[in-house]
Amino acid sequence: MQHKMVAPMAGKVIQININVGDSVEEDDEGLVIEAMKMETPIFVPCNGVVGQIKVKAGDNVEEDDVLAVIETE
Amino acid sequence: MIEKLSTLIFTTGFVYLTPGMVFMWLIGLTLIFLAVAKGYEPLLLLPIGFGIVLANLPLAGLMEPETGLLWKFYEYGIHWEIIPPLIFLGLGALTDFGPMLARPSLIFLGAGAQGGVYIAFFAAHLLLGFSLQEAATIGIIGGADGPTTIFLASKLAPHMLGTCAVAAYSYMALVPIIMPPIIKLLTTATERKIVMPKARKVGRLEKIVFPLVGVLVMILLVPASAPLMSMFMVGNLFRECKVVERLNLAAQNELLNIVTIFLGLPVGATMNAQNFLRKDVIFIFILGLFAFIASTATGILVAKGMNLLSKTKINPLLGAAGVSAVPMAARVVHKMGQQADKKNYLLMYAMGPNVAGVIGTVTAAGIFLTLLK
Amino acid sequence: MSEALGIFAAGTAGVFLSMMLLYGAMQISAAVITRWFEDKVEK
Repeated sequence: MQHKMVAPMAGKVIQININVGDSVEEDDEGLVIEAMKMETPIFVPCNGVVGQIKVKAGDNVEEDDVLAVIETE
Repeated sequence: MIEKLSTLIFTTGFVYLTPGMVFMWLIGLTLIFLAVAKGYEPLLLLPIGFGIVLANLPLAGLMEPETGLLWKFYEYGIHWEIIPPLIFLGLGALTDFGPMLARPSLIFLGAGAQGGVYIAFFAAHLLLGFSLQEAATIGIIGGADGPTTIFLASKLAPHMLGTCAVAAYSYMALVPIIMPPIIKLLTTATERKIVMPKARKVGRLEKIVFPLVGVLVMILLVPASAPLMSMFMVGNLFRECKVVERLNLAAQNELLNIVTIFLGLPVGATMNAQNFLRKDVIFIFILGLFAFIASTATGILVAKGMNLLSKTKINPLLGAAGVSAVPMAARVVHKMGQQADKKNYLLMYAMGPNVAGVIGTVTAAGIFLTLLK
Repeated sequence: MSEALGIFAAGTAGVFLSMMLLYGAMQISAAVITRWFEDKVEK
């Protein structure tokens, strides 16, 4: 099953802490987005393995943009 | 030759220096230090600090009426009501009203957070004997809006302008320290966990119509707020209409930066030793802090009140964001929301009351002007 | 005392009323815009 990790708010991706193939757990800090000169950590929504990462550092994202896809069994 | 030399010596400022002036240098230098080393609102506190030093240099005559350089900046920039409205032009161009338009009820949080302004006004007049005009200027510090404070002070209590401005900008920088304790006192952890419903998308047409409707409604209601409100709305229109990008960018960047320079220096320069070294000043700082605290509280209380009356619950943290230190208060609210629930991202929701609060503060200032001029 | 109280009351009421009217104006404009767009789409 695939679970999308979406951006909860608009901003700029400044750090990506996960890689494709990583085993991740819910509430791991997956990415950091910057908005209003403030860094906000974005947490992994569920346990699983990182299937795809759709953004790279420096990208501007909007609310609800897909950041990554987590594969769960 | 001895005569010429002695003229030079006796026209140096050293001869006319007073301890008061030296003390003011320390204050100016402290503000500069806070700006540079601690990052406290440097865009304003640095020029203000420098202006303070300049105003306390005897014989330099920078604040000499009619001839002084800084006097001219003050007279033609601030007293003539030019600089603060131009700052608002820039601010309007920087402001995105989307989060507020998506959930218009957040306007009331912006209104609620002005409660502290009036409470501080009341306390200043009744408990500490400030005149109504002075009390109003002190109260508006709680609106957390530098240019509005400066604007109101220049019209109602010019002798307190520098002090109130420094208090306002200092407390705006200290929002991350001032607000959390009050927020924790007035809200439960459960309340802070409330997740806001998804914001609807706001269309381009709505964002263009808002400054037009806003300028009509607010200026018809409170004409005295016109200089600030009009510039704020036209700046916002520049931003949203997308057809005047050159004007928009100039307003947000070049214009805003230039007038910020011309705002800070004369504001600082009004703070000479005579104006500042009075016991009033301590009271102003205390009342200013009280105003900030009270505004945070009234904002939260209005949010909680709204929750009693409606089915959809608003996170009361958003009430604190009605204190219009943009975007500092929104950031603090966002952080506290994340502390309560890691996955609660309140930042964009908090921008709604944050920007509404700017309108609220300008309205409150306009009302003071109407009733007290 | 009463003058300050008067200003306090009038001021707070004034800010709230103004914002309420702004809120109302915004809701009306939003409704008008939605209807105008809907009309456009229909055509």
